[in-house]
Amino acid sequence: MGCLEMNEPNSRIDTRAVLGPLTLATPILTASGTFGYGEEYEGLVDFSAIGAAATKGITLEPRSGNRDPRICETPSGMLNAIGLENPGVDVFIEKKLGWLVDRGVPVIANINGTSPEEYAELATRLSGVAGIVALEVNVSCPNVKHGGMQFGVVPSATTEVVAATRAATDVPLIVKLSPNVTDIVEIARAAVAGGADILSLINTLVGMSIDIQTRRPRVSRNTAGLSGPAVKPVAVRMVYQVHQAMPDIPIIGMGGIMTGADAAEFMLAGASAVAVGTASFVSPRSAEDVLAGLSDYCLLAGIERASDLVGRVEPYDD
Amino acid sequence: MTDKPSITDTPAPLIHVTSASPLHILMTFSAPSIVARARPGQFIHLDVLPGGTSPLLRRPFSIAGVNNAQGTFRLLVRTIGRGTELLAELRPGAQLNTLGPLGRPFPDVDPERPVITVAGGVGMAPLLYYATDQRGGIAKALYGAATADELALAEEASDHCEEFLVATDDGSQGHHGFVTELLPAALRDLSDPIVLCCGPRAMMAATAAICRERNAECHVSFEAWMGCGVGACLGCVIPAAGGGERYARVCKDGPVFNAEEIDWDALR
Repeated sequence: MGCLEMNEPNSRIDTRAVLGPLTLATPILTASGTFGYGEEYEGLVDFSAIGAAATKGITLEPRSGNRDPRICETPSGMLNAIGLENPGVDVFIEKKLGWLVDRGVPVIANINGTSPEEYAELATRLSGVAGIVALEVNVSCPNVKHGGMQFGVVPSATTEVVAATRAATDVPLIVKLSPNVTDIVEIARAAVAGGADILSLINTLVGMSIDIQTRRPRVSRNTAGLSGPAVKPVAVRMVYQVHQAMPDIPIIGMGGIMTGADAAEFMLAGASAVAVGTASFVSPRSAEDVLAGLSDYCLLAGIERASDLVGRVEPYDD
Repeated sequence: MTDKPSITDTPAPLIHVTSASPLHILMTFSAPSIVARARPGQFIHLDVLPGGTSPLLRRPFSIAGVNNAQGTFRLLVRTIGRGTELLAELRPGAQLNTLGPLGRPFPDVDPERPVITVAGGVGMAPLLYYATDQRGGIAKALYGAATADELALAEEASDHCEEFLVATDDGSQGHHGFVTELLPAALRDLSDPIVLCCGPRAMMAATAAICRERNAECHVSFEAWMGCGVGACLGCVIPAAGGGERYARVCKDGPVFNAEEIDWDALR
């Protein structure tokens, strides 16, 4: 971070990421909800560094989102409770998707429903739409009253939602997991049982912050999702656990990634690709900087392919 | 339109820092690419701790004025927390990442039309930029603060308007009371005035209500905690008028809003 000279990704490093049915030019993604629809960053970002952009969570109908205040800063992190504000799937397809597609950025559409049927309907509508390379089934949004994390913390509900979505589409399915569970591996297995091709983790951790002067929570929904460097060790641990349990299931790791070193750490833990989220708020160029840093790390370590890092942590024996 | 990007993210050296009141500092940064595009009412998203994680997010500051020849902009900063305390410790030569100019500026006003500015505390920043901009021109400037010590840049502001009126909550300078209490008379004196306002939310709500009663056009500049600053994260919203539950992004749809665009009753 804060390194502002041009960071050309080192061309000697092969940065391709293969995630089951999905092959991306770089392993650096932008996380849903943190990069809008891309257009907000016009002129600020080299989009070629981005392997794929996960767009803001969409629903069948437009949603206005939660009341303000929706965000606050916490030590080395932030809380958010946006509440899935989005224009609905039709406007997404007609007006929002094109900007990234026109710039050659593969799009991962993040979908949200209040029932398995809604997820399936969204998958049907988005199947075959040019530019969408995968759907990210969000069963982990902590900031809505219905749906979201309700599904993602119950294994049987996770399987049911994923299976309904799977039956509706042949597009590669990513399932985004909630960290707000006792056993992340159990939920990961449930998503795979439903037909997930890829797992992405972690969504935000439920947290709370209170203004001691006003005695009001600092976010209007009282509780909200924690992101940023504060959550990184939790995210690395969960990626590691899921990869150890299911080494053949590709993982997109995320949670507080700010640098190439952070990306390398997630990949060693078992992630085949990573997503930058909160970092994009601090620096719009985060995806490029993370890719350049990862390439530098590979070069110094004598690794030709970034994918050779995946799962290569050398854990201590018990 | 030229093909220059409308927003740039650029390292900006701190040129100088001066005291603007016992509570405020005035910081001047060099960033020609930002200054070339800036308009009064727009803001800068400032990375106060490059490479650090606490504070993590950037801090938004209204541009308090520019020097086009030198390519510099200035920010009026009141130290209220860790982010602004770190800023206050910086010395010339320090370099911070600056993203801008961001957001919707104040509207263009017909030069014949009288402008009233209503500023509260550090809310003077964008209004001073407006006053010093060659497009601007102020008939009456109203400036309020809790106490006389908190009236930053009052002398400079008074040089850029025909009439300059001060109010303090404690009566230590000017009118003893709220600055909004000066507004009805100011509106009465002028023909078809337009009001530009920046300050605490309660002050802006009172200003908007007075203007609405008198059918005076009013524009307000909001402050909010922000994530991205460019409209992507939807974190900095305020309730929008027009029926139903709708929100407007302070960073992108604002920070300057026509007062009629805000649902003042729902505002927190």
